[in-house]
Amino acid sequence: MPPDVPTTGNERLDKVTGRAVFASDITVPGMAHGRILRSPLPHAKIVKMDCTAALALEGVVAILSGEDLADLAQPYWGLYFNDRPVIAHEKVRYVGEPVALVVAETPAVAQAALDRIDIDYTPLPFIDNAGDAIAPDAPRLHGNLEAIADFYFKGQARPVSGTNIYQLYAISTGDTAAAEAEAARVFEHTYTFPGIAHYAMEPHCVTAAFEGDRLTVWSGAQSPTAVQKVLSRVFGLAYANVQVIVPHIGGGFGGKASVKIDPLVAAASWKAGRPVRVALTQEEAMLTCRRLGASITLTTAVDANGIILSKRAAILLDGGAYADTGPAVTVKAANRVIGPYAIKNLEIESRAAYTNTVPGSAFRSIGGPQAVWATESQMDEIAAALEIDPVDFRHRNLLPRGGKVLDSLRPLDADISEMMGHAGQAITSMGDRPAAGVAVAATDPGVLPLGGALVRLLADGSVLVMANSADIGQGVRDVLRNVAAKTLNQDPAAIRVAGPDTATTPFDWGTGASRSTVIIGLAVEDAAQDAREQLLALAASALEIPLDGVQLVPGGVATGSETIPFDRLFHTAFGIDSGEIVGRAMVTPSRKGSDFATSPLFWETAVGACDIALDEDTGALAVTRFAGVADIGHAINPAGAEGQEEGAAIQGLGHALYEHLAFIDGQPVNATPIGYRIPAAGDVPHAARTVLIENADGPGPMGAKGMGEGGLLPVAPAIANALARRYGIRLRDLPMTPEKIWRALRERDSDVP
Amino acid sequence: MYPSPFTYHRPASVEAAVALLAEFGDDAAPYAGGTELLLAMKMGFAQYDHLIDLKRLPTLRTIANEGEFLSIGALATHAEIAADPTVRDLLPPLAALCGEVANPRVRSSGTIGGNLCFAEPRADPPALLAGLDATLILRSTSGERAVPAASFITGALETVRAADELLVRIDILLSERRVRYERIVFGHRTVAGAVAALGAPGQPERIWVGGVATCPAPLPLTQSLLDAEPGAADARLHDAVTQDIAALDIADDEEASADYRRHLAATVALRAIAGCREELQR
Amino acid sequence: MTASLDLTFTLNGDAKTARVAPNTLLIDFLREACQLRGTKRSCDMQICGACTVLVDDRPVSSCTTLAADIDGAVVTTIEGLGGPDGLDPVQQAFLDHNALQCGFCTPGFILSVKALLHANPAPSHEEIVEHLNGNLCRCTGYHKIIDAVESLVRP
Ligand SMILES: Cc1cc2nc3c(=O)[nH]c(=O)nc-3n(C[C@H](O)[C@H](O)[C@H](O)COP(=O)(O)OP(=O)(O)OC[C@H]3O[C@@H](n4cnc5c(N)ncnc54)[C@H](O)[C@@H]3O)c2cc1C
Ligand code: FES
Ligand code: FES
Repeated sequence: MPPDVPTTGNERLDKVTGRAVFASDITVPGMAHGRILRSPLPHAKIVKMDCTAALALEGVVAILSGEDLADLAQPYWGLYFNDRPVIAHEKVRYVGEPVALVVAETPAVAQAALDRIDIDYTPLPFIDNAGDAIAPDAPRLHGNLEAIADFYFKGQARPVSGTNIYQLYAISTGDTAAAEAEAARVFEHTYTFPGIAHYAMEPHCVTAAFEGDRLTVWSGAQSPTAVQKVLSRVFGLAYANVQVIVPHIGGGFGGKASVKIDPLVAAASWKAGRPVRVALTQEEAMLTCRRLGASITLTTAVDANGIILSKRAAILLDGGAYADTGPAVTVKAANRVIGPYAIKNLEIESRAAYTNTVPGSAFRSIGGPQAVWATESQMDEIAAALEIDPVDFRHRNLLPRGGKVLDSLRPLDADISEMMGHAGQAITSMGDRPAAGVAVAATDPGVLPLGGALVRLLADGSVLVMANSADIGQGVRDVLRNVAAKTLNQDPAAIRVAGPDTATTPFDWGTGASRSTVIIGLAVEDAAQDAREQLLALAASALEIPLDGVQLVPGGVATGSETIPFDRLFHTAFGIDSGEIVGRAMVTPSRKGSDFATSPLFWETAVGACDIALDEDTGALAVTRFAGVADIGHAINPAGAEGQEEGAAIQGLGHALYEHLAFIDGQPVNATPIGYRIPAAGDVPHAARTVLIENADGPGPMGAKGMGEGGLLPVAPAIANALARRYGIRLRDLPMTPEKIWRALRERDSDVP
Repeated sequence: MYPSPFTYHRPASVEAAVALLAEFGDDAAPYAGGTELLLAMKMGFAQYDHLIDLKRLPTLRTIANEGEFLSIGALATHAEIAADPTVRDLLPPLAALCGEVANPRVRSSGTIGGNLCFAEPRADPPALLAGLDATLILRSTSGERAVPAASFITGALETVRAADELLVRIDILLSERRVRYERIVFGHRTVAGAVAALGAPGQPERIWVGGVATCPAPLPLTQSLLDAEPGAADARLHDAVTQDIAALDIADDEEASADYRRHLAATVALRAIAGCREELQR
Repeated sequence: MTASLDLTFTLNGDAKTARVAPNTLLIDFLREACQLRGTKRSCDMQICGACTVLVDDRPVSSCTTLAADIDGAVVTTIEGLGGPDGLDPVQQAFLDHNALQCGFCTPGFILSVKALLHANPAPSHEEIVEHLNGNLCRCTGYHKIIDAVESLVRP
């Protein structure tokens, strides 16, 4: 690296100079490399595995396989059920499941050894979609599993015994049957949503080192403490002996949340007696986790004035081979299918089922895109049928600020109607025509208010903020730096935010669900406040002046007449010019001054509006203008906040138009970077605008709300609504590929009587 | 992913390269840009004991106006062709295509010869060059032979090139024809491409499609119609193109079903013809 | 004709020699032998551009290029940009325009932009977008990256 480029501890600078150390850049002395042999079959018994030839290859160190599991303290793990073996054990449940892990001196040798593993399977009947999974005679993936409660998320899953359904969640209010009976019209539509790859640019990479009963793991993990917890169970180690260090993460989006390949790599190190690094390829990352596919049937009753009387929803999610955090996705899909509307009568049933496909897991706004796709598409379908303008139809049914989506949830803390106005204005500011399609969303982030921070003011005036919030590109460290700087009245340049390390930084639940700004922001604010109070008290006593006579200024304390730098203060107080002040804080559900009793802590709201252009010959669609509006309370890091919204919207564009992790006969058919298309620069809207609403009414520092997920939600339905409005076609199945659009246009133009 | 070990040869001349090919035959692969070759080797689809590096043979990458022909060395990269003043002047559609295939990195390493020899069904240059009546010059220790671009590719990843032959250059007949290449790209791949080369007195009209079947294909009915009636009405053109394309062997795949692909092929063919006609009218 | 290959090249301004196995990929040579880890591996298939480096000012996917190819060439990686006077203007533009989030794609984008501006110092907006279309970013949504490049061309 060029020594002459100034080092500032500034992550963004490190990233543009190539110095930032990502999970896949970690090397450890003595490290060996692992490559994974994966199942070619969706469901099968492993009848024979012979690794002799592979072990004989020069440079092969060890091979981990299901036979090794007997020696682990807890060979199966999970977040809601211990349904997943550290490595396939006797049976495989999806194409891509790890069955053997070769550890070798180089990755090339490890890869070459994979071909030499002799393995025989007996195929079992399989299911590759949720519809088949819930059929009465469907083959089952797992036996009846015991649900674990309050392990990662609060609560526990409610599986349907004797079936593949691992989660059933229902909401029922009022009387939908009565409402439908008195309704002017009842509409029923089914919308489908595919599995989607996270496609973080950095595929999962973990390096693990066992030394006796101490395990150190470097992982691109969004939830280091969850990794620590699961590893401690799997290997029977004390939490204190499991250290999880998180370098820079090359994108997460939920795909690196909870726990992914960490137990597998740690087991390889345990088997090999060496530090082991496993870097997945992008193809392998696509076989590791994905967003849950969904089929959602909505039955909505409206009166003659276009007021929604009731809504029924039947949600079926494709959970893949292991539950991971799917049970939480199931709950959120149900809550999020309601929308920010005043609907008295609700009947929602949300189910997720195991299938022999890539495990489903959290992905930016869990359950949200599926639910909003259905709800916001149907809003326009109903409006069109009633011949009401879709924006007007929404206005008639929107909850006002303070209205309740569900009685059990916190009242809505945003004005969606005002946000729609901003979106409409933003669209017309970029071109003549009004928006062709609009969609809105209100989601309840599953924010667990549990996380701590240390703020250490060092003798030279530099400040170390220690918090377990992983920087997945959302700029959390900039946020935390700004919060600490403000509270301590110090120059942000003096503040370094350390990366997560479970051995040195306090517990935090993890990075996800738009929570870091709020929870860890508050923890840092509280810890900085604690440091501030300690400092002022120290100054008052050391300088023998009253407490209200000192105040913090950049670099030291001021007594009115004089500014005393921190080192002099410490010198006076401690006898030498060393020492430090340690501010600490732990945000818990009972934090003073916060109302954390009701969920969600804040609503994540979003409005999207767009205009589109269509090549009717080919079905190719381009979004010409897009406007996104989010109510984020306060933008602590405005550039970061805008970037998050823009990035989310483009992920939404991918969901809308291109992305679909497809399976045919249980085989993934496009799980490669060539086959799977994510948006590129040429695909983005020609003109785009992001509007951030800031009323400082959030629970976070300076009134911030969490953000970073909402921008994804309205995109697909807004585009579908634009297609319907401008071109007279209604697509209910994502993604809206050119071929599907072309077929719909043909159907529109055919003279079917 | 890592390519398995091989012996690396860096011949100092085309003669030496051809001699190496004669010596190792099937066990050797010419290494041009490597954009397809290395990928295939990394993925384990192909394995060679010998790689013969052609990159350092400048004579293979010359681009020259030979009067009757535009001659393009097999090792000319997409980027070089796109930027070459002679190509831009004499055959703008080829320069334009080479300037937009793939991405800037593939364009800067990938060669026209590698594109042709790999014979990937989705490639664009094969159809364009067939429509231009180009001739490919293959060389082995026993000398050179000329193969029309129209018959070079015989199937998916299959060509008439023998294992000991090197593609050295492509000669493109220069004519008064107006040339138009149209393609539709979804994501990283061309889903349909078509060339129309029309309007030179005494020369046959050419319409070829690519990217839809396993190899490029001419549209014979359309060509004859245009030969007979250069100004044939749109509806008749449409019928001829549709019939021609119906005769092609086009399969469903995970990207597009066959009927949609046929429709796209017809769309690009008609667009290419329309483009040429517009130019002719100017 | 060798089992190992001697290379002479210039890396980020310094003359170098090295001996490699012929099947060594440029990315591994840079990351492992040269310890320059700013070059990132993502798709490994020439799709994403995370591994972009410059060879004689041309952009290449180091994931699918042999180390052998740099023999006699001038190689620039992200570590070679900027100098005593600070950042390269492209790096600075990415910072100024917040054209990065996780930063994993950033070195590849920056080198790709260097290559563009080298070949075409005054690209049109369309040319910029077409060029950037060859690099993938899953975080930013591209607008700020495009803005950063625009700022260099049309300040
Ligand atoms: C991401 C991506 C996108 C692409 N998009 C497009 C596109 O839109 N349109 C399109 O047309 N193409 C596209 N391509 C294909 C691209 O054009 C080719 O990869 C490239 O031109 C191949 O040239 P090369 O020199 O790298 O060939 P190599 O990889 O070096 O060689 C390919 C094959 O040909 C053989 N060979 C090479 N040169 C010779 C020769 N002179 N004589 C005999 N045999 C030879 C090799 O042994 C090998 O078997 C794309 C490729 C990639 C990776
Ligand atoms: S890693 Fe080389 S192009 Fe993606
Ligand atoms: S900033 Fe994360 S991939 Fe581009």
